[in-house]
Amino acid sequence: MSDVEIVQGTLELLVLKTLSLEPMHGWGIGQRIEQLSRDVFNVNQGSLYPALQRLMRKGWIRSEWRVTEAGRRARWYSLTALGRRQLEAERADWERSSRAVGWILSATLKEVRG
Amino acid sequence: MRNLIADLKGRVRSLIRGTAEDDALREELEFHLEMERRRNESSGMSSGDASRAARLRFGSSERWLEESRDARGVRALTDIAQDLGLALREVRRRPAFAFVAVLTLGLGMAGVTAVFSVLNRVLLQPIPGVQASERLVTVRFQEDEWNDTGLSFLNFHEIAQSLGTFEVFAGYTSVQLQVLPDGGRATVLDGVSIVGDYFGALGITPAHGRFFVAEELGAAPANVAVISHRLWRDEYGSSEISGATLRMNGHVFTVVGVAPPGFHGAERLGTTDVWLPPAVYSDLRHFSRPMAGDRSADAYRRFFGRLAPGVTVTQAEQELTLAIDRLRAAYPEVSEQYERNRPRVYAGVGLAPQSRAGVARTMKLMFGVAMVVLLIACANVANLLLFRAVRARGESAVRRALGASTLRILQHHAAQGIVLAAAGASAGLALALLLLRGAGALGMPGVGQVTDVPIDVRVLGFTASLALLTAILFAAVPTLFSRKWDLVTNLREAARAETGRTSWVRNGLVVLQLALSAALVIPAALLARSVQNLNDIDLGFDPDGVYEFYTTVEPQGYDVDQRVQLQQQLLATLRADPSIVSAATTSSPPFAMANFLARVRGPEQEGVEPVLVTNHAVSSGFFSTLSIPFVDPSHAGAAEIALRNVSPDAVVLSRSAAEQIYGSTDAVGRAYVEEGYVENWTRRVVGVVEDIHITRLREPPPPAIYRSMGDDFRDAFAVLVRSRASADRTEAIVTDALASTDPALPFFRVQSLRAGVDRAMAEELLFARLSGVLGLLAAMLAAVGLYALMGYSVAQRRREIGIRMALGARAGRVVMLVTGETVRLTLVGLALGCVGGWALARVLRNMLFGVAPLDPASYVAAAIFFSLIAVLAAAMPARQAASVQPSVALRAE
Repeated sequence: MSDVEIVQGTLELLVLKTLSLEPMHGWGIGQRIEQLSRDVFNVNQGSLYPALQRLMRKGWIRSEWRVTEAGRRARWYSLTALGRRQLEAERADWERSSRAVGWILSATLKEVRG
Repeated sequence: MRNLIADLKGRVRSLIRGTAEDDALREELEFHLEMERRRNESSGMSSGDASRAARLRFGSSERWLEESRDARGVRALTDIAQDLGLALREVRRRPAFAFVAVLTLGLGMAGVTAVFSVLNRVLLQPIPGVQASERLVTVRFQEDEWNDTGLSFLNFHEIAQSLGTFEVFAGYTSVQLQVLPDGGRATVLDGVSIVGDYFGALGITPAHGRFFVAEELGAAPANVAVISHRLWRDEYGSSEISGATLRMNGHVFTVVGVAPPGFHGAERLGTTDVWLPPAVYSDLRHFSRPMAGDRSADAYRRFFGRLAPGVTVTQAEQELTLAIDRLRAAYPEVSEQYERNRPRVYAGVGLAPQSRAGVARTMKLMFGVAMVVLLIACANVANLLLFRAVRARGESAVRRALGASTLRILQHHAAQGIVLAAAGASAGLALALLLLRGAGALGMPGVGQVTDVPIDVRVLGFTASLALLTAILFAAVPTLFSRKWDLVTNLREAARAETGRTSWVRNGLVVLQLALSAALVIPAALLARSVQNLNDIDLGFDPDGVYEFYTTVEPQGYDVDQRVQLQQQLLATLRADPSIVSAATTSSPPFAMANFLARVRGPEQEGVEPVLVTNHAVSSGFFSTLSIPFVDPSHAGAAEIALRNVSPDAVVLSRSAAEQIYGSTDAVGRAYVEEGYVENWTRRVVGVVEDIHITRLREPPPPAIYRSMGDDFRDAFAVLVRSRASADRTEAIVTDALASTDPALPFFRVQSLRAGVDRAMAEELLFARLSGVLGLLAAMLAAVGLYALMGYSVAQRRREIGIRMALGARAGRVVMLVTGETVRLTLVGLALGCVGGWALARVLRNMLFGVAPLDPASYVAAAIFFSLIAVLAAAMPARQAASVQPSVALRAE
């Protein structure tokens, strides 16, 4: 099965969800998303970091520098209260729209003709 | 909303951190690649492959950095900084272009800024310190524009008490004050005696001390005074004022307060330095009728007030009319006085009603002209920018190909526009300051001298908005054109002609400039001819070699006889000097500041409308000093004797006066009647002289009567001397004569009569000169525009010219080809300009004298002038075109 690219808007939602589980650095977020999607999604790493910057600018996530065991500096991201609220709102939107898409996709001619 | 704030904070934070963010990003990138490499190694790749795979998966790091930066949202701001830097570098690279552009803009802006500053000072700016000026009104009791009367102290209070439409009502009258500092020379100050709550009505508060209290504003004398801030600074060194005194007109006054800085009375261009309570008025002016008990005095002539909220000017006027009529019914002695002089209420305080309309109109006209010049300047700079944009269209095309949006290109041009506009506005401001400093002393049409015109907040705001508008213009024009250009065509650099559309705009701009400047030059020429015509008018007297000075016996408190005696003594002393040919005194010399009028008629003409004449008191020697001839010289001797004897009932008429009263100039020996408000006076005509111009040159000389000095009750008078000596020597002679006659007499302004005449023409002269200068400026700007267009056109067509010449065309043909365009443009511009100029001349019709708006000579002159300009503008580029060597031109492509 070929990997599916993630649409940009969805990527932000997925990042927020990932960070709601636990704070993580950039590379880890990418890995976590692929893992949680059971490898359906292939995260475009080039668009991950700009997305993180956008989320930071909007104030939904914050970042801090930490030192790993290996002695390297890495930037860790975590969700803010604003971000948490945003996550809930977007999740509700997503569920509504995917339900609607499902209805349309399962429509039969009989339903239309009545 | 919360999101918005968070967003902004994020942007600002990123902006502040700047490059530190970039470093952080890079470090993050390193970490990411390291983790990815490790993962690859742990799944079996070799070290080299692992790194390569990691980097490959990540993609271009540069693009990632860009996108991150974009996401951070500071792109716009860094772009602007970058653009400004570029714009400044452009300026350094081509200083000549920048210099021309800034100078052009600066000149245009300077004109508009200067005119606006004056407008602001004269019309818009409130009088310093005055509060809530929307409800302030001016009140006059007037018959027509030039005749009015006033109220006595008693009448004022009677009326003021009864007014409901006015919250506060006040009045004032001017008093000339001779100030004698200890041991110093006498100086004269402008003072004002107030009645009513003058300061309260204006809403001003004292800078120091206090204003008058209720008792001081009553009928009992109170020797207190309020002085201006300027006087306090200059004479008292800004020291403590309690206990300070002021010696004026022989009395000592205690200074109780200082007015706020910049306040010089209720008139916008006022010069009042001292304010006095009502009771001292009659003490200071010995011949005014005493205050108490006299209702028919018209001591106070200027009034103003603050209307109650919601009251209209009409309502106030109606109430005043009722009050006056009540007064007339109660006191029959004043009934006649107010029969023709009715109360009139005007909105606003500060400009005398009769000047207001004229001043506003003149100012608007000047402003319009200045804006036209600015428009021309902007058109020039816009054209220059367009040329540059076209020349650099290769660069623009590359930008577009690299992905620049229209917005981005607009930003690029906007930066240029901002830099130019800012520089131009600053230059304009500086030039305007210089201009105002120089021109202020000359006087403005209809307004008089306007000194200390401030460049205040309003003006700065105005200039800044102008600059902004021009910046936008300069940004928009090149951007709009850049849309048309695609990469391929433009990179293939060639001397091909541009698309027709762009050259339309450029040509149009130049035609516009030419038309506008022609439209300015034509009226300027007409005005210049008007001034010339005015100059050529025969004044009726000979002003050259005659000097005048003013003095007054008001401080001495002389009565009429004493004054006359003093005058004759003075004249005798003056005439004794060998340099003085003749001397005389008069109540009002020609072209004086004000004239007095009288109503006269023949004695049998009871009921006939009297003739309005100007009214002068003169001594013997007046007519010979000014070289005014008698209509019938045989009467001259008797007339002079009558004047020398100061006969109170002798009078000399001017020609037109005699003709209008009696129907002929044969009037000697006849009687005439002068109608006054309360009584009539009968006089005898002893001579008739030719008419002279005494004020407005545009109108025929007014009829005049000349009475003897004994028939004049005024304290102030002028002395005229015809002198053979130089101006300085004459002034010395006069000073000595005055000193020996009465050392305490103040005098000021020894000036030549010619200067007085010129000053009366100053308004006309100034306006004509101003439009001339502006017209010339406009023409020069248009010439520059034309020259630039020509030069560009030649440069563009070098290849074409080269080909033609290679094919055998002579230099002459080529020149004609290139200049043909110029000729066409100039003709079109001129034609349009003539129409515009004619329209403007129609508007200015009232200012013209002796020339019609369609005067052919002026139009022809303008046409020749512009043809010359066109020739000059085309000369250089034409020569360039002719000197193109075909081989060089063809090779250069």
